[in-house]
Order: sequence, then C-alpha cells, then structure tokens
Amino acid sequence: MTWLAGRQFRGQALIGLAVLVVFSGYLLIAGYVIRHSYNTDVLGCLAADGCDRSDAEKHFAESHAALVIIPSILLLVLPGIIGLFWGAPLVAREYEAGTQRLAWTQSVTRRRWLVLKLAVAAVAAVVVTGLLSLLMTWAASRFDQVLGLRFNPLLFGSRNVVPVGYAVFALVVGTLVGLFLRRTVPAMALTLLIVAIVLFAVPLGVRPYLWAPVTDSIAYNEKVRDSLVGGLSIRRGAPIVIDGYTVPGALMLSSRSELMDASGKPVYPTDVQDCLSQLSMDVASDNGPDRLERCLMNHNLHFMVKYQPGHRYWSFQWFELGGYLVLSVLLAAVANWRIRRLRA
Amino acid sequence: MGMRYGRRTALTECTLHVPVGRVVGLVGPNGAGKSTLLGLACGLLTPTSGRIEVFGRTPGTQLADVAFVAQDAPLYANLSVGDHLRLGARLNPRWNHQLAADRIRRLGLDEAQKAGRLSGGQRAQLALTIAAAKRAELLILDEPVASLDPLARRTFLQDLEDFVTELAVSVVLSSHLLSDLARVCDYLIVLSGARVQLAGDVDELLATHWHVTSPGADLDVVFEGVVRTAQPPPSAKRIDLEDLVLAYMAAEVQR
Repeated sequence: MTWLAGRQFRGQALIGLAVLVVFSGYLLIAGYVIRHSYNTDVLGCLAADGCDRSDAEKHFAESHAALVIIPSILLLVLPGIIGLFWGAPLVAREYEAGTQRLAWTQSVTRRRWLVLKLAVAAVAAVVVTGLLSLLMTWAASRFDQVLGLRFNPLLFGSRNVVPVGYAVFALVVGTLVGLFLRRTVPAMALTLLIVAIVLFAVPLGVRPYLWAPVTDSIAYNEKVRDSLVGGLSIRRGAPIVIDGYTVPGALMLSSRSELMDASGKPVYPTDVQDCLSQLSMDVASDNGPDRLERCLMNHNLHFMVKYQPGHRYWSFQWFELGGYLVLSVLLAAVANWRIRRLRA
Repeated sequence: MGMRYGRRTALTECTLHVPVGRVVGLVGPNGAGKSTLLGLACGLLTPTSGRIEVFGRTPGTQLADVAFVAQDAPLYANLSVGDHLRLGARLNPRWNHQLAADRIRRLGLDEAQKAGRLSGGQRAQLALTIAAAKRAELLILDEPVASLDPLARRTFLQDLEDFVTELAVSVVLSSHLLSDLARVCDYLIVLSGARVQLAGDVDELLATHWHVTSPGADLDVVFEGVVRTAQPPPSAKRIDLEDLVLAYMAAEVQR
C-alpha cells in the first residue's frame, strides 16, 4: 500500500520538490546577501570611528526588510497551500474519479489505506516545511537579531519548528474536509477558510495566553520615553495612557497602560496640572511636548505591563508545535473512524 | 435486509440466499438497486437494516476473498497499465502475477499506456484482469459490459466464461439487459422496484414457468399469460428467459 500511496503522490511530490528548490535557492542567496551586509555595515560600523551603531542597524534592517518579509509571508502561507493541494484532494479526488471503489476492494482495509496515504503526504509536508523553515531561520537570523521582535506573529510563525506543525495540521484538516465533502474544489475552499482562521486566530487570541504572563511595574523615565512606538494620550476626564511600550524581545499582552502615581492611583490630567499649564504656554514652540514629558518624569509615575518574556520563546515554539501535532493526530483519528462507516 | 440513502429506499425486504459456485446474473431496470446490492455484497456499503453475509462473514472483513469490478470500471487515469498490475500485486496477498501478465499480453495492452487513455473495452478488461488475478473466491461485476460496444461485449463475456471454468470462482454480475447475462449465468436474480422479484436456478425457473393462453383460476399468474407451476396445463407453451424476466418486471411496474 505504501507503494500505491507513493505512486499516487509522485506528481504532487515533484511540484513540492520544485517549490523547495526554488525557495531554497532564494533563501540561500538572501541569507548570504544579508550576512554580508551585516558584516560590512553593522560590524564594520563598530570598527569604524564616528559611526553610530543604532543608525547602522536601523539602516540595515530597513534595507533588507523586503528580502526577509516576503519569504516569511510565503512560508506562513505554505501550510495553507499544502492543506489545499495535498490534503483536500487526498480522498475527495478518489471519490470524484470513483477510484475509491477500486482501492477499497483490494485486500487492504480502508483505514490502512488512509493512514498510509496520509503518512506519505505528512512526511513530505514535514520535509518541505522543515527544510524551508531551517533555511528561513538561518537566512533571516541577523535581521531578526537586529530587529529583536522574535514574538512578532509573522516572524514567530515562519521560523524554527512551528511551520512544521502548521503544515501537518493543514494537511490533516484538508484530508478530513475532503473526506466529509467528497468534492475537491469545495473541500479546498473550506480547508483554506479553516486553516486561515486558525492560523490567524492562534497568534492573536491564543498564543499570548498559553502561559501566565509576567506583570511588571515600569517607571516612566527618559529611557521609556525614547523606546515608545506611540506616546502619551491625554484626554480631559480620563486617565493618562501610555501607548506602545515594549519589553525587548517579549510578547506584549498590553500595548496601552494607564500611568499611575506612587500609590498606584491612575493619573488624571488634573493631577499634573502644573505640567499641562506649562504646555499651554509653550504650545507655539517645538519643544513643548518634550518639556511636558520631562515634567511628568519628575512626578515619579509608573505603569504596569503584562508580557511573555523573550526567554520563553522556545517554550512557545515547542508548545505550539506539540499542540498542532496533537490536534493533527486527533483529527486523523476522526478521519480514520469516519472512513470505516463511509458509503463508497 | 434493507438499504436507504437518506429518505430514498434503495433496497427493501431483500431476503436472498445465493449458492456458492454459481454464475449469478442480477438483472433489473436502471435504478432497481443492483449496484446497491452488489456494493453491500463486497463491503463498500453497509445495510441500514438487516444483515448480509458472504461465506458466512460480514462483507469488508474478508477483503481478500471478494473481488469487485465497479460500474464503469474505475481506474487511476494517470497510472499506467503496468502500475495497475503493481497495485494489484502490492495490495493483494494471493495475487497471481502469471495470470495477470498473460492476460495483458493476450489483450495486446501496452504496460506503459496510461489507464486514462484506454478505450472503454480495454478499461473493462484491465479491471477484470485485476479482479481475476486477485484470486478471490467470489468475483462481483457491476454492469461490466454496459459501456461496451457489441464486439467488446462479446469478447469480454467470452473471457469471463473462460475465467470461471479456469479459476473455479463464484461470480455475480449485473446488467439491465438480460441478453448480456443469458449466455453466462446459471442462476438468476430479478431486482425491480428495490425488491427481489425472482431468484432461482435458470433451468429450474424455465421448468416451472409457462406461457398459457387462458389461465385457469387455480394457476399462479405472474403477468398476462405467464404462469408459475410445476404441472403445466396441456395448452401451455415453453417460455424463454427473456419473456420470463420481462413478465416479473412488468408485474412489478403494474403494482
């Protein structure tokens, strides 16, 4: 039966191989380009006099963003494509051609037939996504290191071990949907929908809550101000909110936090009237906001943040891989149970 | 035994005993439930009520004992003739390679040819070859000649007859045309309106059915002028199989 599963999969495997070769070639070249640029522009900057490292890094990250982000997106989409073209037709196409009546009346049980077909496709999916993810991780490593956003949904999902879990999951979803719908094209559409929903929902709604987050109190000071992506939001009658603070390398659960005074009470604009009245005097000058912030720093303010620290990265990678593999096994078991009772 | 697809009844009150070692013809109009009955017999379907046994076991539990050629002889279009023989060899423990290779040679099929490019007759022959080389005890053929031209039809049935004597297997084959089955089968089942109308040994059926012009009140009338009796009245004439089957089908339609 393994022979038949392999023989039937040959055409799809060849397409997979072609994708693997082209994609790998791109990643190898991109990897060398990025590494070369890192060595000359960033490391070279350290050696040179009068070169600002953070400027060099910023320039390095900006100039290679497209080179890294496009293949990252492709790698994130690849599991969906595997589910679509390898998973959905696995059983559905047999039904459309009527060949399940040939296959299921040989001396091999349907369950064995399904398990082996699925196993052949799963091995191929693991090899293709595993190799590409390995190369992607290598090619983008300097870029990722400079960017320091390893928990970013795009970067997390297209690096290291998780793409393998996504691919196996999408393959099994496609197979199961094909088994229920028995039509290839509708099965492809539904597979795409399910895989897209899961792969979008998990990074946004599930991943941040897999572990109890760390809660920290951060003092509002100059360092914090300089690292902000957003800024302060001050509205009459509402607490002052600090927007876009990130702990380096962490997965932030809260992007907006209320500023609090030493006793832990939210700070309202009326509590810092002295700073605001200064601002209204300085409104014409450019350094007005700067003076406001400096004034606030003297008020001994702090805010609370919740996050998953960067050192949990690998726990999250393995946990998510494991979760998707367990889910895949469960769905495969459903398919295996279902196929016994199916009308041919 | 019965079989329903949702609200549609495909077979109902189907009680049947088919003897081993025969060539059984299953005849009935389109949509009578022939494919359903054969699907049940080879384990592709499970009955929604009652039960079915083949060699005393539930179909599907003895896959190696039953060979099946489905309607339209489904084959993998992008696999070659040779691939199909390998498929048979890898998936069946009792596979007879010699038989398969000989038949392919005799049929003049090219092993490298893709199955999708074979003619209807060649497809049917290849499917029959796979089923025969499986060396099962029961060979089930669902409308094997329906899509074939008259010449291919004759060749196919001739080949089938050769097999049956050579391999000593029981055979069940279906058709909506009795003429296809008359020359090969020695046991007949008439299926019509999701019910078994008639089942029995062909010779026995012919000996117990007669044409009469004016049936007496004591005779078991099947349909207009056809009666079932072991003691024919003096005026009775012999009946051929075709008329006999048509009488049962017409009787069902009238009901």
